[in-house]
Amino acid sequence: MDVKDETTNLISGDKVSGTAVYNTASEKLGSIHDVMIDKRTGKVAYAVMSFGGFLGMGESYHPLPWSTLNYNVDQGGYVVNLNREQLEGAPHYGAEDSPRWDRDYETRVHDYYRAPYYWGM
Amino acid sequence: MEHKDETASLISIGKVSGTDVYDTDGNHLGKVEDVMIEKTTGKIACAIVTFGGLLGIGGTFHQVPWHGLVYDARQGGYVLGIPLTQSNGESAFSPYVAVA
Repeated sequence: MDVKDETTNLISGDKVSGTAVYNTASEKLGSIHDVMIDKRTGKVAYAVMSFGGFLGMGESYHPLPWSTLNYNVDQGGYVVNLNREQLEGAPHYGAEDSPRWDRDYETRVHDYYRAPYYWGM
Repeated sequence: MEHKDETASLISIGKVSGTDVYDTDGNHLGKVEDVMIEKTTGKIACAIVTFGGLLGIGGTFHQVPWHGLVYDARQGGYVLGIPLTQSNGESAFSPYVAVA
């Protein structure tokens, strides 16, 4: 990082990437791999969490609606109200099988987490 | 990037960072260094753009509003629709605090 990466109200995209994600029981679920921005509105749509080497499989990517993430200063990471089973059943993809990312897919992702649609806000 | 970093409506921060910025005449101005996100709302507050400098060294960091940057696929970079200097001669963008 060359630039100041966090202020009281702001956090840089570079700093978000690589940040750990925990559940409410403080178990580490994975880490933020990247952040997806809605080009039109400039609003963060998803944090893409990588969930590494699970069940002997390769790394998988879980798009989490931004509203599902809460930053916890003490843990130095994001907390989501999900257990591993819920995460396993959530929409995810691997390096070789990217989804279409159309509105149907995005609706499915948001419905799974019962998150408000970012495009309707 | 191992995952899809752009769709019709979305772009990843990993892809935005490092992207060149041009003025409306096609002159190279600098590049996007990072973006700043409002923690609570998830809104992009601004992009941090370096203007000037050689190969990214010695450039100055500035806060540029996200809506001021329009992606141009032909140039493979963002076009800054706001002049760097205002009519009163002052810079249009606030400097951003840099820590080495």
